[in-house]
Amino acid sequence: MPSLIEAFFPLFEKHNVDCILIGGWAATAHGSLRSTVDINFVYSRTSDNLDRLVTALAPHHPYLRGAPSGLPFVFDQATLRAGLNFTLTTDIGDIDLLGEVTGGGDYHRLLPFSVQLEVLGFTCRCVTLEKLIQLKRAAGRPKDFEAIAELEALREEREAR
Amino acid sequence: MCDNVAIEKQTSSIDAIIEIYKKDVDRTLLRENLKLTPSQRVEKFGEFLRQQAEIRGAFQKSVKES
Repeated sequence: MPSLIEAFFPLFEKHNVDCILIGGWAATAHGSLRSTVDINFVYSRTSDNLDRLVTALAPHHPYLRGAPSGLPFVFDQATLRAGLNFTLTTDIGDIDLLGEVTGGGDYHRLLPFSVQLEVLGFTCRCVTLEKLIQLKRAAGRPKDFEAIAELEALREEREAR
Repeated sequence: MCDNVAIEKQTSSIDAIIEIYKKDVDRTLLRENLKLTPSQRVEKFGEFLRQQAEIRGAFQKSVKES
């Protein structure tokens, strides 16, 4: 089974979806050794990009993660416009699509704090290590303390090289 | 807007907590990982998850059979 990166990066690249990788997989790319079970992106909410996002993901049957089955959820532009942050299951894995993130704002605010990442032959934007630490800190969740400690240790190790 | 959250560079009790956690970080593993490219790190982690799923599957199968 492909990893979440292998599943979503080619899809988003193929459909030119504007999004920035954050969260655990971004931490992995920066050198973290902590595990994660979903993948998190901040996506652009321009009309064109919402169309591209729907085209890319709809064939993989996105559904609200944790919600009872059988709800009349439709993954289309109207749904995306009506909401902001979506935690979804799909045929190819769990994904969080965030219109805004605490401490980072929306896609366009976060863009200057991202780098182009080439992984397994595919490219995607990834939040910088510094910004990732800020996002984790801004979230203020006790469960993130260990992750923040590791990310800060990574930053120190990188600076010492 | 949720990005208006002030992220000030002043020391807080959270910093003290994170410093405590930081003492337990295995930096030897981080240093080894930093020798890899981002792509190699992602690939390695993907492989780790695959193996983890395989072990989990094998365990569940053995429980069912026993």
